[in-house]
Amino acid sequence: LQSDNSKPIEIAADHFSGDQVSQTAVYTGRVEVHQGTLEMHGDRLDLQITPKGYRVGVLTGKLATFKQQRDNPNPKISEWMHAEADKLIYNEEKDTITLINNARLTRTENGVLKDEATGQTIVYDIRNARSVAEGGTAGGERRRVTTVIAPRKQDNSSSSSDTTKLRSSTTLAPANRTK
Amino acid sequence: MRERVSAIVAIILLAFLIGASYFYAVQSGLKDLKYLPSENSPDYTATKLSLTDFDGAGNPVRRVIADKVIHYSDDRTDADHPRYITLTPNKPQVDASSDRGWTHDAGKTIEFEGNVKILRDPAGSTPALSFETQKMTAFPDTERFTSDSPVVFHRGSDSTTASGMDYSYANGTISLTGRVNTHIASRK
Repeated sequence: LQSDNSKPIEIAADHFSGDQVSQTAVYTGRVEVHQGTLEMHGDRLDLQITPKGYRVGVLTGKLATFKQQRDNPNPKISEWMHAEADKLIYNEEKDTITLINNARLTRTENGVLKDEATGQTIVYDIRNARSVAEGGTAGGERRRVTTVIAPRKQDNSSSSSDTTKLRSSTTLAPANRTK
Repeated sequence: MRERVSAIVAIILLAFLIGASYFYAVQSGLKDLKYLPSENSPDYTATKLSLTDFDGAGNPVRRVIADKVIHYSDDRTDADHPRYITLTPNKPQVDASSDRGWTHDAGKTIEFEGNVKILRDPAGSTPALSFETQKMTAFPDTERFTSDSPVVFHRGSDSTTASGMDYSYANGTISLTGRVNTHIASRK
């Protein structure tokens, strides 16, 4: 949610080590990061402060995961973004998350998978809810980008975007048919 | 004749007295004399104490202050409200204090107990640091503080709780153990 940014960040882990000189903090062991609805899990988090004072967090794990609720105009729809990869890089200044290696980004509505993107690298722009996926080679294996976008029309009533049903007009005169 | 005999007897008695004194003097050699105070009776105390430590080049490197110090014959020293302040030039000052403190090894390690606080001044772009715990050990020679008691670590507006710490103010590294929880205040 957009309001997540105004929430404090809570980080939990088994161990912390910090270095005042290089301005880095390393959390290891069952790492959890929470900020509002944003939630990340991994094995190790390297947190650094850029010269401009913004935080950059590199979360690694098998797999490092991320999820966050998205604002949806329809209150009945609980829309979530889920991401997982070997490495997640959170950039506070750009408000982006970069997924590297075994990257997978999915969008769900009320728990139902709607869209999915996989690739070598995916950059997800949290602020604008946009993502850019790139292929590449990893371990000598060529990885292509695959994106699956769920069809908009759905049978179940949960979907809000039903197409408008056409009905015969009550005001217009019927067209004259040529014989 | 009678005077002669009594003189001889007197001399003999005197000689015996001198001999006995010499004998006892030898027996109780001064080196064996030992003042054995009770373990709990101090051999000296001091109030409003301020001790400054200098390095080989004559620069002050640390200062220990205490409201009261009690020293015992077994080289144990207890202190009320001890404060340990680093004076290393070009480095941010570190100031550790507590309700009580003691050392059993002539200051190689100093134990702090009760409302222990460590404050490190801000330095360049890094904000001030502080630690709060109930027990802490200072290692002046290696410029380190350790604790295996619950600790709260503050860095600017962020705070982290842990169940143990190891802080080397010489090279600015901090290690916190146990389930660690950090709270980073929101910027907005």
